[in-house]
Amino acid sequence: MSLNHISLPEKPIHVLTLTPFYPVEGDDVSGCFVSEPLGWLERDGVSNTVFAVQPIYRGRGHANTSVPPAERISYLALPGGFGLPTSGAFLYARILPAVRKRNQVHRIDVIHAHAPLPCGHAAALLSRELGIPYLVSVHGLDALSTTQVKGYAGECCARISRMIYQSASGVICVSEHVRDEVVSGAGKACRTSVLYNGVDPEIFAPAPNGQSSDPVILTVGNLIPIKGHELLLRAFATLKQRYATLACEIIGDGLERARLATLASQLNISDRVRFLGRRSRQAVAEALRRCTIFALPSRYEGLGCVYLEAMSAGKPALGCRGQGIGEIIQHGVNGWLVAPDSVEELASGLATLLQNESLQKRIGSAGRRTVLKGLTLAHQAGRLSRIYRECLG
Amino acid sequence: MKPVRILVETLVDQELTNAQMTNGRDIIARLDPARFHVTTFVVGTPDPDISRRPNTRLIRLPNRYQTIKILREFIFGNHEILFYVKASPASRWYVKLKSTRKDGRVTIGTLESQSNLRAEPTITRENIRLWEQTVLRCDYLFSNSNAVKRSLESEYGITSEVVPTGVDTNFFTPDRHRVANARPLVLFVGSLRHFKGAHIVLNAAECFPQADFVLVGDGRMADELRARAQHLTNVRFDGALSRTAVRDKYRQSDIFLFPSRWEGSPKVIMEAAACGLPVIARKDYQPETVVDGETGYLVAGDDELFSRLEELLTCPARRWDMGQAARAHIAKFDWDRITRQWEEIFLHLAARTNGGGH
Repeated sequence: MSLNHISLPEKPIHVLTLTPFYPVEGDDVSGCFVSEPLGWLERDGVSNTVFAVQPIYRGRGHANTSVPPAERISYLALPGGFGLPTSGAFLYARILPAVRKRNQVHRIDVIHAHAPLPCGHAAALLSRELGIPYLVSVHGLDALSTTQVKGYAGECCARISRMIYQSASGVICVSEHVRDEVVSGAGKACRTSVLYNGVDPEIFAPAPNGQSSDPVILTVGNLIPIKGHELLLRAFATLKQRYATLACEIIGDGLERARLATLASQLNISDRVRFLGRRSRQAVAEALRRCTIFALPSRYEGLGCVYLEAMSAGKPALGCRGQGIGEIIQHGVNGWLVAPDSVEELASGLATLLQNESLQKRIGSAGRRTVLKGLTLAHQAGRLSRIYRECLG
Repeated sequence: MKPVRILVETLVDQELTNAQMTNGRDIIARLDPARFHVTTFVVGTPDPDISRRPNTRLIRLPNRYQTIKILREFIFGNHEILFYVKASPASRWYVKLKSTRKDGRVTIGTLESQSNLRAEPTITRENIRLWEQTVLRCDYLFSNSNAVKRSLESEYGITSEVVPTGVDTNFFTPDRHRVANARPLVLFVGSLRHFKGAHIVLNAAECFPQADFVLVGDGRMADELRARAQHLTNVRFDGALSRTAVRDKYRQSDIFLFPSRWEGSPKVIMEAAACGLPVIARKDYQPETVVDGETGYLVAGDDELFSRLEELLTCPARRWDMGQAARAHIAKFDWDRITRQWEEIFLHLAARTNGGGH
């Protein structure tokens, strides 16, 4: 016999994860950053009970069989602006019996909530009721929720979020950038830590034998104004003369689709721009392997998992300065950074990369290395299990 | 001087390669036969080093129902010291009986991490309880590293002395006539389990295509890792190998990469160092077998691990210097020296018991 079981900090712990993001049937992309590390956490001795929650008007959604099982719960939520600030209380009322029961069967050591509203709020209330410490993850715009919700309701959101951060055992921010937002909103007293999302380096692996001969600029993201798709289309229009075979692929769907399609035809590039709609993870990985450059000139990203996926696939990833991804990409070394909202800089950045194949290769492989060194799912899960254990003391 | 009579609770079968068993064997084989009379157990063919040793009594155990025979030896055997007490039902009975009556014998338990409790899929609460009721109740406890000693103190509040695990530096030697590799060869030896970090070796292999990587060992992650390494042309899995074959691997390699997160005092580090390899290991368990910056590197995270590996890959001279320093440093852990420490401990404890208890 040995001392292994006492010399190792591997006491098994049980975590209750509350998340509004979790893959459903037919959509394995949204919330994969919650489901993917679970397998690795298990190996670090962290078992998880996942409650995937949704407001009642969204419907339940069917479980996705390719991810660890989660209990799907829909809670009552008011429509309109006051829906968000009140949803935490509704959610709490809805799940308390289930959590109590779960806690009796298998003691819960930590509650981990994704996004302060509604899950963080529900976790804070559960924590008060059951005496279990809780952590809250902040992914970006949800920091104070004032961007989504305006006016008095927005103030309520911000006030509740602050309260949640201050009483949490830890606030896990997806980047330093988000941490700054949390600290500026809720004060330095809250215990924050930064945990970058991880990538699966196997799904997002580089193509074994380079890419196709025709250059392709790829972008992946919901078609919403914040992602800056129109900047990309405008920059693309300036490049189209110089690169006769250059194409642009757009993966993702959203309200902007019609507007972007019109813009493309106005710019006379519709024949070279392909709107591929929503795609599965495998298809995204495949597209990343095929493309020449990945570009996403977002106006706001907490971190931007998709940049990491592009890096992992060995492709030069282009993002904007002053956002989460700027903490990982070193301009010209393992990726490319341009000023936000600048078509000229975006176009010149793309041009520089397009005309220099060896630069593409160098940046691509440096990006892949960056991921392998510290941004895989195993790294993320390892850090997360340490955060869980630290909050237990 | 009267010889000290020691009962060692281990099996000296030659085919058992479990680390704790081999440790017991390594110590017995080196104890001075004139001063130490040893009794120990065997099921099949005993190790030749042990059967050759004078003043050594081997008790043959049946394949099943061993407890009675072991217990009989514990109680009625004429021994002064019971060494290497295991978490076995026999020891539990003995420890129970011993607490009810006066018994002059001294029990010594050792705390090591090499026997890899974790490897067994059956680490149950009962296993841990049994361990607590036997090993932890011994009169004297010895840890094999300071980190193990500290964890014992913090978990159970029990103090222990440190006697490190040894390595056979006469067996594990560098190959003086080796031909330099055209490409640097990075070696990992360990079971393929998550906490050993073999997946990090694969990450490294992908980042450094200029080097070759060999993984020795088997385990439940083997299939997964092999599948991942399929497209990596610079990775080879050699499976579990015999002691001599592993030595050959050490001798052919240039760097020993050991990204394991949890260890007591891993033997593979000592073996690699004895074969003259620089070692990259983690700071987490504070191995005393690596001197950071001199015989290798102790790294805090993966980022540092990669940059240190790159440094060693690009600089053959540093590899050589560190390898030499590693070999020199590891001489402190040679089994001969470690066994001298045990001999002193046994003599000291025997003198105390003969002098009227402790």
